[in-house]
Amino acid sequence: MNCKNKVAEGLLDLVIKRYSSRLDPQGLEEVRKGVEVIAEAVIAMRNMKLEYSDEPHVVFKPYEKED
Amino acid sequence: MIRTGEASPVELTEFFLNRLEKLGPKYNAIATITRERALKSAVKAEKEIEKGIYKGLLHGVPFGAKDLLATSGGIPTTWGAAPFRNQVFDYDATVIKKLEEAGAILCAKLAMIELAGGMGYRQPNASFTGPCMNPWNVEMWSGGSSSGSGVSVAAGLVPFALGSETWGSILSPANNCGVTGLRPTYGLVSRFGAMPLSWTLDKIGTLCLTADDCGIVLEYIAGPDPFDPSISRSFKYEAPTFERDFKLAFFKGVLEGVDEDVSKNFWKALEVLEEIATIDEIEPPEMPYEAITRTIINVESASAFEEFIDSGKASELTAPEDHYPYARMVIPATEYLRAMRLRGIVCKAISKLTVLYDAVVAPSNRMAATPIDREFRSLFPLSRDVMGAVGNLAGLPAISIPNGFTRKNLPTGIQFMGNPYGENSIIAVAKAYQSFTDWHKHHPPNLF
Repeated sequence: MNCKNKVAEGLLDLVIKRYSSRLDPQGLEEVRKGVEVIAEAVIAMRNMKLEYSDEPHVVFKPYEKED
Repeated sequence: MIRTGEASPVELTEFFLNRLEKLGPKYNAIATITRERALKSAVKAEKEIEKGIYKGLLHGVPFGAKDLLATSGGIPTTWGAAPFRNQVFDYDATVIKKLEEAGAILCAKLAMIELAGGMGYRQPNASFTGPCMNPWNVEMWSGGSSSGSGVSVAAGLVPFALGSETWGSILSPANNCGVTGLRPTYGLVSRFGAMPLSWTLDKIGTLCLTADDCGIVLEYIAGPDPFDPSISRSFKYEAPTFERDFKLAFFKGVLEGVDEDVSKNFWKALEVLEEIATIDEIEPPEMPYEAITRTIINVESASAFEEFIDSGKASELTAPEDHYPYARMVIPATEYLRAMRLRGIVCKAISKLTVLYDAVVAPSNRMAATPIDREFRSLFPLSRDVMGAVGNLAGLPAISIPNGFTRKNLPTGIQFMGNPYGENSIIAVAKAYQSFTDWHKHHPPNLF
């Protein structure tokens, strides 16, 4: 099954390895559409430059037991 | 009227229960009617008020809740999904608990898109309760995923309803059903007891007839909760008057790919708003907003539903396209972290742009309600949703209010997106608009 780009192809291979028993032709087509949308998002994000100082927008807080 | 005894909570509850039972099924808007619990609460409220114990504006007022909010007492919480149709919890979601403590009366669990649309649905028929029909025209869709919440308020089945939004799930039904919908700032309303779809994007909000009502309900449901560490502050509704000039802005290109009638009503609304506001055009930096938001939702929902997806039970969902949610299961962790790193950049960039304004204004949706039997994504496949992606990605509040009708007599909406915790400002703008217009006073036909 052909995908638009190598990112999508790689993701599709992973899905097939993990879930092939669940995928009939319709399922495979749905997954192909799904990985292509994901791949487009991945490529769009990779086009945006990140600096080493750009941390994930979540703050880890050590747990302190409340009194 | 309830406070003075002119209206009886029991009679009011009976009235809305009867409407829910009679009209709810007509629109596929109901998951469960909670008659027994409602009448018990109503009797309690009535006795309290008779004794002079009045808890506030919601005391004795019926409401409905999207069926992703947990309820105790054997009432199912189905998440709109056939595999969960018998699911019960032994606790109440914090928002339900807060409303009941304020004396409000839970009358129904309301229909929703299965798993809040998290498996990637593309059509209205994506709930085990059936496609939710629009009271303005039953051949059209209510919007989703808080479908029953929008319909129930529009059709007068409840005075207000709770909904939730991860990306579009409050604003979409508010737009399609012609009601007012408020998506609060992320971290203002507890998510405890709500179905998790995306931990860093899920918000619980309200659907009401007016902006003022949304402010009132928000005050009761907002605030700290030991079960939800993301909640950082309370909310006091200021019930604003309009004695100041508002500062509004709209994004450059906001109407690209937007339906003609929606665009027309948007410009007319801006003409009204120009009486009370300055309105600037601003240009958000070009960033992959939708890609970042979509990646976060995909990965967080994959994790939240990993057991469900791996069990193969997705094949029991209603919409065929929801049967195969496997693509999201293989997104590398580095891509999720890239999205979360980019999220920080987006938050700062948008804040820098919008901090000078009370609200950024835009159509609530690119289109009015779409046909109940059509894939909605296919109707506007190439248009972007920058406002939806930015607003949810950055955790910003937004309110959608009706601003007119299409030539097919379907409601359209306008949204005001605020700065973090800027609910009072966006409600003030919406309330001002509603004081100059009567779109929110129009009701669908055949409601009796």
